[in-house]
Amino acid sequence: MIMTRHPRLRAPAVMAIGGSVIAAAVLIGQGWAAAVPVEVVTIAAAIGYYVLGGRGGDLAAIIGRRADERQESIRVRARSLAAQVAGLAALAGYVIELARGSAVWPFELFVAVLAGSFLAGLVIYRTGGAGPANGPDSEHEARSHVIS
Amino acid sequence: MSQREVAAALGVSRQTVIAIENGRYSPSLPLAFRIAQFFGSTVDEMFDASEEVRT
Repeated sequence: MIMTRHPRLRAPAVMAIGGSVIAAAVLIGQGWAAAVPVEVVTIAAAIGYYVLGGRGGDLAAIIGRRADERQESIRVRARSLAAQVAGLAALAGYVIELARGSAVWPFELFVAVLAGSFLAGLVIYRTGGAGPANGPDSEHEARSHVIS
Repeated sequence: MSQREVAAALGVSRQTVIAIENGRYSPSLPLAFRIAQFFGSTVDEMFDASEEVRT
């Protein structure tokens, strides 16, 4: 599969597919005139992302899916920050729309998905991550903590 | 030996080697062992556990 052989293509491909889905939605709702610019921007962004992913430096390594452990930790923290900011933005939007008397369900849905995925993450990474502190590998755990 | 050569041998980027050298990144335990092995040393000798490392 092309995605596995060329990890650098993964992000631009997802970007192109996502943008095309949005462009299709715009096409259905607003017609060709509005959809074409969306698709053009999507393709340009995907190409730009691909080109950037081939360069040197931390950002390029993260974008190009060839990050080492430090760059991967940067990526994870950046995603965490983005999720927190998105949550705060949704909360702000919820409050504003509530005050305006408009429909608030999209914000409620967003916050619910955010909270649900956070809880799911806690469950997944607790059970599949470090393992029990007093389990059979506890000696190794203790040693690891001393060194790190 | 250049940072690039060290980075290539350890399977990390040159930026990460620089970050570890400058104390800006604390490597994972597997990477710490690889570094120690690469330089023919031990983790204890290579890293000071009492030193606070900014991650």
